[in-house]
Amino acid sequence: MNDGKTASDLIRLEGKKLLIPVGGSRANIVQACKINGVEEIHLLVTKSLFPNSDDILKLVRNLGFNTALSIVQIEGPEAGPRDCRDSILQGFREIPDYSPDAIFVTGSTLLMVATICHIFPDAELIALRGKNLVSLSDERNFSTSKEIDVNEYLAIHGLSINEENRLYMNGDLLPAPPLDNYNMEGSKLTLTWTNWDKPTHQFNKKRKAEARAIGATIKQIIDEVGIGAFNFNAYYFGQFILNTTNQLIVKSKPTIEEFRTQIEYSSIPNSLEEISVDKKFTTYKIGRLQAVMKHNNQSDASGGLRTKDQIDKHGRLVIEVENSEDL
Amino acid sequence: MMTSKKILVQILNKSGPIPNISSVIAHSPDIVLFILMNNGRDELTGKFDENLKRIEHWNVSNLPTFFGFDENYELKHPPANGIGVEIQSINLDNLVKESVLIEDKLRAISDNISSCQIIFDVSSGRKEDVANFTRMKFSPEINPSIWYTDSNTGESVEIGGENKQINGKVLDQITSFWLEGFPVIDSVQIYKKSEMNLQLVTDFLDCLEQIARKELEPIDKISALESILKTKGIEMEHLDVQDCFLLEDNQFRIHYSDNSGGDFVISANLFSRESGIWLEQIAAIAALSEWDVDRAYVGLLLVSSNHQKRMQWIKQKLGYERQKMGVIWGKMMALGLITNEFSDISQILKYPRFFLDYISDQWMNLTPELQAMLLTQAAERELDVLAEGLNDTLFVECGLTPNETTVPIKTSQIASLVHSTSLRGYNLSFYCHANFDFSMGRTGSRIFVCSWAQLRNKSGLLELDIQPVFYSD
Repeated sequence: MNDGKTASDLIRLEGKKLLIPVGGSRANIVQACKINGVEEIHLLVTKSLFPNSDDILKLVRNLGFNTALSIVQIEGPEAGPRDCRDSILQGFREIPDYSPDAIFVTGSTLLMVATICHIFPDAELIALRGKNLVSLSDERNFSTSKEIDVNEYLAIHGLSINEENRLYMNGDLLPAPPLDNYNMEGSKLTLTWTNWDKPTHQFNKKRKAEARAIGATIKQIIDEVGIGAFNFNAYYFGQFILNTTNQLIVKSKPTIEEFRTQIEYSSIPNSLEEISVDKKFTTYKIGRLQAVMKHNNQSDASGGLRTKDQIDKHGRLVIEVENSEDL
Repeated sequence: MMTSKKILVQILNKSGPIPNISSVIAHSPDIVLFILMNNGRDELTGKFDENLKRIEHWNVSNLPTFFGFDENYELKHPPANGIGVEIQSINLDNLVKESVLIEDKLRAISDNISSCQIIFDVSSGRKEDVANFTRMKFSPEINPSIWYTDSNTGESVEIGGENKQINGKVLDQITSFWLEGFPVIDSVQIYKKSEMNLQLVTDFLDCLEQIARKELEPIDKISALESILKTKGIEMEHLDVQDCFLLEDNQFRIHYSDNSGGDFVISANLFSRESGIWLEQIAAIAALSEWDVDRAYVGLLLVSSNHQKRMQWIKQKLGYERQKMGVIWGKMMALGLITNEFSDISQILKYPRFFLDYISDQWMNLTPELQAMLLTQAAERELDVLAEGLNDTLFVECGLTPNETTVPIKTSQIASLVHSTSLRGYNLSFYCHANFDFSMGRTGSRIFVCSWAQLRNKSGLLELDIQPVFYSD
């Protein structure tokens, strides 16, 4: 987890005071609470995201963390940059002897990060890169205890998932269909919706409605917790997903690397589950994704399946029978 | 006499050029130096390169050319002109270790660096880079001040200090669309507050609301509206349809009987339960009448920034629109652009693909008028209403029939546009409908569901608590 570095290479934060600006994404709080031996954590939170500072304390305590926590509540950037800046300066003036040993700079907004880095010039700057906490002054890693659990991650963002994989936010069911998959990728949780209906060239009302519901759900999550807290995938919803989501935020097709991590790439199983067959193509389920094979006119084509190492325009892995001619 | 230059230093943003351009506009420097952080990932390098190119082309006012539009093509909604600043860039691996490279670059671009005003703006880039940026150390003669610029307001504040500057210049939404890679190609209508008589708008909407509540067929409602407007000295003059490509409805010109000016045009298909153009127009003038906006666009069409993709969209859409294809064929025939191969219109309508490829191949030879008609078919996104001013910006999606299914999901398309243009947090999104019995709601801090009549109640909407809308109606 720490790039193979030995314990002596790692910076330790025992007995140190840590300052964490909190934006929409709250995973940094959990990450910071997991750092071994931190004496005290100050959270810099905005009144708009956390009107009641007790809420954030409750969320953290409910997750079982006991590090000493205190809150500095400020006007956020939505109050205007001057009020936000002045509110940060005023907030720390009210704690006269306060000086953090380290600042966590991965969370919150640029204005807040820049302001606290400027007013505490001697504090160590710590960034989260993937699963690692890194010192920006010398690129050394910090020792951390455990990775963030999926349920912890969801809970700190006010989300939960029921047994049917439907998402809830603050107890309310969100409109998106059930998730196909959710898992931690580095320091972020990835939420994936996959359409398993037959591909069709005809207008598909259900797919359109589902794509819109996914778009609405993603918007609600982003409005609540910010743009960077989650990775979103919505696969095989075709053009509809492009019209209902922002492609900078939502991935609509898997990459070849995702196929490589999901399947034994060199030997594709011969008994793939069929999703649909039409005149030209058969679509299969392959892992949690889809593959497509063009029908070969050769009636004697036989043998195992192999990948052509290509993805078609719909995001399906192109496969063929091993002894077939190139298509 | 030596002139002191203002040099702005910024980290180039990855996810779009707007934060960088906003601070350029706010500080009006003589020179801007962009820091490109090396990252070792081709995908990210491509994004940085694209952003820098967009900034450079915006700066010299030829962003449309960069996106493949003909230089001679007269755009209806072009991006605002750039400011012609000198642009420099530098690639760095690490801000902490390579401050000397920035110092060298600053000396290279200025004859006398100690006389220059140097501004570091921290409103773009990765947070960890910005954190380091605020703490960079230089030789004594280089003494930058550190600023943050808010893209939405154009307001800049000095980090750690008390200084603040507002020059009032912010990017308009149309330019923001362009910069984010969504060229705006056309709109059904533009209403400008400065050209309208707001009393006429208010009187008209009051009467419209009164009639809309009556249980009548649309045609009877129009007659009733005409009568009630007459009592207030307002007339509805019928105009014939002008454009089969964009606005297919006939229209009414609304004006005072004494022709005192400030009149406006709306669809003659008022109260229709099938076509919603009238609702979009009414939402636009309702927004103009009550919100702090100075213009409202109806039916904005946004196309791809890539020429080939635009051609694909045109082929795909026109393939299903035989009547429009026939119009295009007729206009090309009149211009002598139809070869023998495509002289039989019946064959073209039967097998449109080859003709559509031909249109694409002939693009450079088409007249601007024909290009404009065709580009309306390349729209990837449509925005029903955009109402914009210095203080308020409203994105409005209209729907005639709100219900349990449409309301939660209808705003997702508009939300994606808002998120795409980096202005999240300030704009207001509306799902606006024509059902007065349906509850008015606020489903997020900046998301509203309301009828067009309720859209006129600005304070009522802004005072709403965030809660789900009710579907009992």
